[in-house]
Amino acid sequence: MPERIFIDKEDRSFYEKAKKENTLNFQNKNQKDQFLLAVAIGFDNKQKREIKTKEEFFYDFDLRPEDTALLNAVALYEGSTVDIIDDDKKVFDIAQQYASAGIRILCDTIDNVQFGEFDKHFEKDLVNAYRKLFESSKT
Amino acid sequence: MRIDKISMKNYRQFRDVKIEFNKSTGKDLHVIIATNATGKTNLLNAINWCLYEEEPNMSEKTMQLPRLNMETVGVASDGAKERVEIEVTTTTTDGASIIFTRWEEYEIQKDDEQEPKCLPRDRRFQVAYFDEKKNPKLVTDQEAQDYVNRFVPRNLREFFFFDGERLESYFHTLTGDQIRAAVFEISQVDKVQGMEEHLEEVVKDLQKAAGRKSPQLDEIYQQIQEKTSEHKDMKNKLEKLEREMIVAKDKVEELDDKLRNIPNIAALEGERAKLIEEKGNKKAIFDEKIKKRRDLLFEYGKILKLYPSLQRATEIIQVMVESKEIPQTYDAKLLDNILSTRLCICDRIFDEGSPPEKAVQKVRDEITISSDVARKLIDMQSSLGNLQQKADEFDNTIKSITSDINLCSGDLERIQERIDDIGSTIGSHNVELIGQLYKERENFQQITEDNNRHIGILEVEAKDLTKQLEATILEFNKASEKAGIQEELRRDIDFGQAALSKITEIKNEIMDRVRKQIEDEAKNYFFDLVWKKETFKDAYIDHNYILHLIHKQGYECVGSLSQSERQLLALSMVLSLHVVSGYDSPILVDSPVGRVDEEQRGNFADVLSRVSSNKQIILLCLPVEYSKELRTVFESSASSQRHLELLGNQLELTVKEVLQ
Repeated sequence: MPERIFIDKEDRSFYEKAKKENTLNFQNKNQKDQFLLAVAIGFDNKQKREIKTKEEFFYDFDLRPEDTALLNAVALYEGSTVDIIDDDKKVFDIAQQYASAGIRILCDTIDNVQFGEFDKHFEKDLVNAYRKLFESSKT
Repeated sequence: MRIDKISMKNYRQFRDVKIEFNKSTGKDLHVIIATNATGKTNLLNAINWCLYEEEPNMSEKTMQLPRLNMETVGVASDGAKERVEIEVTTTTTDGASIIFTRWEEYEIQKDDEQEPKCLPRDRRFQVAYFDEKKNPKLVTDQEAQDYVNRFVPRNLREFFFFDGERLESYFHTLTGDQIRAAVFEISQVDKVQGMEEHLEEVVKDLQKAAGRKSPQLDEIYQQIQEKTSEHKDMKNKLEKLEREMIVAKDKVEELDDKLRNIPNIAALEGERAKLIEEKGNKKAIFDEKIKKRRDLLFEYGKILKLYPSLQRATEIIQVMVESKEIPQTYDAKLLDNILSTRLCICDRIFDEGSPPEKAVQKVRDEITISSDVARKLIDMQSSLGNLQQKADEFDNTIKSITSDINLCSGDLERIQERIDDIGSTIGSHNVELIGQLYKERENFQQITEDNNRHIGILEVEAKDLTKQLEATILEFNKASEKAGIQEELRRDIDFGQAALSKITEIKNEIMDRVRKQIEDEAKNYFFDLVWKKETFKDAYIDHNYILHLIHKQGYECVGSLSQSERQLLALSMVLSLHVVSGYDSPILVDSPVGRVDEEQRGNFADVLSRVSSNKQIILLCLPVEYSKELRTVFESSASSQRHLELLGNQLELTVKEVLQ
């Protein structure tokens, strides 16, 4: 039986806003990728949010091996033992909470950045993250 | 011969004006200054009307007005008769005085409701002179006209009394035809031409007479006539094509001059269209790259923001691999099953607490994770490796796409700049007019090429026809001998043909000799008068009577002369015609330096001053033409300087001397 991945019903409007603004070509991405980006943003900001009203967003068969690896990695980071990855429900729960926070953070950033400057802002963010991760490890 | 005085009564603005041209300095140079619409050009018209009954330099406005002075018309009563009279007093080289007088009498009809009418009633032209015995003589009609032709022949007057613009137009082929006509007049080949035409008729008649002796001869005679006529037509056609080609070449030069500093709008518009297309393509590439960068940021966003979790997961897996927890060598589920059933895989049952059970338990205790988890961890390993590698490539990938985008953006900017440039260039010109000029130029260029081609073909055909004609004449002569035509008649025909051929040769020789004389004189004048002597090597007149000038570097350079140099070249040609024609008559020029740029006016003034040592020159100048450069030369050399001014009523002129 395929597993469903959920968002909060309230999150729908944030996803719609992100699509409308079309930052990072959001509107041309499928819901699975939109969700994963939201997870990444939520994780990066260390924020999670409990789902109040579940709403189906996509199925687990949409996930590619790399996507599964990402979600499992998030769960491993969170959990105390490696057994957590044996429970898909728990893995998805953690991801869903990060995604719910992440999509709100994304829309908030869109509102606070000057019109047309989001891409630049996001790129700067990633460059800083890259430098922190790679250049400090090289030195 | 020189003009001493011009008296004008009731001629247009000249109600009662006398202008004397006394030679008071070493130069027979006289300057008359007048603003536009004062009557300056009508002074030129006055002389032409007196001598030739024509007013060739009339403005459209003046043409509407009667010749009779308007003030005179205004004060005249109904039915009054008034005369327009012009008298030109001249002196020959040997001191004899000749007075040319033309008058025309008008009856003035006045009607309260309409404009007054001036109806011509009588006219007269007369020439007064003194014969060898000093007796006064008066001649009229044709005899008077003969005196005019001895002063300045009608066919040559445009080279003696002319508008300064005329000098510029010399370089157009229509004037080349007029030069040819002038040379014809000067060389007096009209008499030779008459002989030629007469002989042609005589030979024709003789051949006709011979033809009547036999039908065969008659047939050949007819062929000769047809071929002769065809040959003449071909010659005329050739001349026409050559003239047209020269006009077209001239027009192309003229248009090239006009278009020299004007951009080729059609080419610019073509370039702009191409650029707009290129911009569209470039924009599409640019947009594609922007989209690609956004997609990369999206992908890298996921990976880099989750990187700490990727790192942690990799570490966990690494530790488990090193501690050999993964990959699992034993199946934990299988071991659990063996322990619970105490049934070995070899189907042997073992007892509780037995050594086999303890061994299995020991192995089972070593396995800390489920096989599903182990499998998932192993599966994750390669994906984690890929993701980490992708993350490592972020910097180079983003830099590369950004560089591409910047290049595209730069290209788009450059293209847009060029499009805007073209737009503003086109916008600042009258596109329609320029397009027209280019089209005109194309048409004339086409005419030149087409005519050149046709001329080539016609020349070959003409050569062919000449051979045919000669052969037919030969055939006629043989046939007439065979037909037993009278010796005498045959001799007459032979003699007639030979004489005709000789006369034509003589005519061409005379014309050519005169052309050469004019060429030599024009060259002498030009190289004597030009201010940049070292620039030019040679000058010659071609068979179309067009003057050419050769640069010291060997190329034809008339097209690149300055306005004043062209004027000088044309003036040299005019003066050479004077010398060769033998008509030592004055030059009267209206607006002599109108087309000459200011910095060359001084040079041109010097030239005119020098020429006036041996020839009378009368100049009619606008105040703006009579600039400092001219005044500097003329104030010290001219015999007279005068202003023409309209009186308050604007209907009549007065002449004021300029004090020197």
